[in-house]
Amino acid sequence: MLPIVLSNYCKGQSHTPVDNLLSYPDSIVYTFTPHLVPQKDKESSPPLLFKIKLPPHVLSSYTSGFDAFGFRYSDQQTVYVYIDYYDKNATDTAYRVIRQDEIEHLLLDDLNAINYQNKLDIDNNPFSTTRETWLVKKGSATILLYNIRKENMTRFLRDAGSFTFL
Amino acid sequence: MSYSKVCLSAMPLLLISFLSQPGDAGGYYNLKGDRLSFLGTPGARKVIVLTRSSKEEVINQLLEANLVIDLPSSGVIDSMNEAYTRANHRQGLEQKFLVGSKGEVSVIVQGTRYEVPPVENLKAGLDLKTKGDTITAYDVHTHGELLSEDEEPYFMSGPSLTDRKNDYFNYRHQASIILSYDRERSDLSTGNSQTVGSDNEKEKNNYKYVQKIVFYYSTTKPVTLPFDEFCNIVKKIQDH
Repeated sequence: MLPIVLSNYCKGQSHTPVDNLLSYPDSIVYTFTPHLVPQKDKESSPPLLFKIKLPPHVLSSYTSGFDAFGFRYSDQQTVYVYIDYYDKNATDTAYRVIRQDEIEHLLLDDLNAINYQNKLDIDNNPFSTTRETWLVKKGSATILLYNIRKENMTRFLRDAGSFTFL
Repeated sequence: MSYSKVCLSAMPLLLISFLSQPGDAGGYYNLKGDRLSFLGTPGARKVIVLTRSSKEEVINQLLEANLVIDLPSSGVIDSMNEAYTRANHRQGLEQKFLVGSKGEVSVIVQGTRYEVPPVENLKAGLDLKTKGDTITAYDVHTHGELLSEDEEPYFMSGPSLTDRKNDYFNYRHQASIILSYDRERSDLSTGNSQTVGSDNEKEKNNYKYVQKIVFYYSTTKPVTLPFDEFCNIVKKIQDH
């Protein structure tokens, strides 16, 4: 097994998709499973692999690098997943976000790669006080349930709890 | 008030703003190119605070963390483009150059895929010195290269521990820069019930490599944005 991995690594190639979105009648299941261990200078930086179940009928999804993921649903309801490779002291938590300020840096900077015009475009989806936004932290992962319709929040929250590092 | 009279490396940015005179052409800007007028001005300089936010609380945190950079000149942007080109032509060999506190740009030196050796760093430093710019404000180096869309990256765009723990952050007070790529994908699903990700559906994955510029300073979390977006912002601020 090792020679095969090393061979792929040296060529920098792997032709198998690194992420999968399996769609079921009652849910979708997204997995992020890169095959190679990338380098930062001389350091190996094993990517964090994960799996999450979410409600069905996702309209589109976006991935950037190893840390930013987004899922767009109808009516501007959005699920973001951000993997923080730098915060080593994260504690698990889940809370409702009341003020936009609380997630400003996360949305505009950490997740900026998927928040541009032709993607999830945060400029056209401002924080809404008539919807609900929840932030769920599981280890290095932050799952942001953004502008979710109140009647859908229980379902989204339950599914966010399915997030698992592989 | 010129930059040479107020050495950035010797004085916190906020203090500089108090010393600024009304009517100075400089100013603080965010990564949307918006002027942050509540900060005053840093003399004649234009300084980018490395966030897309305009919120005072976020801005102040980043100022304290030295996640700021002087507005790059057209010469710096040209060298960035050249470093990308050389990295791509030389299979990911790291390219590096220095930007001086007076805005001079050093030659681009080359290392291996994993580091730029000290002798090459010295070469860049000496070049800057011969151009009359003795203080390095920040450095720029590449990670990786442009790959074909079906290749997984062998590199990460962010800084290594070595990059972040470098001693020069003890005396440099601007962020350093990595030029790299992130592999991105959009529209994995169209909303229809389907299973994607198998080899025969690879064309639906829409992978592509996007040039990314990464700003980092010591232990602070880096800030990343598309390189073309950064160039547009620089142009916007230059024209302001």
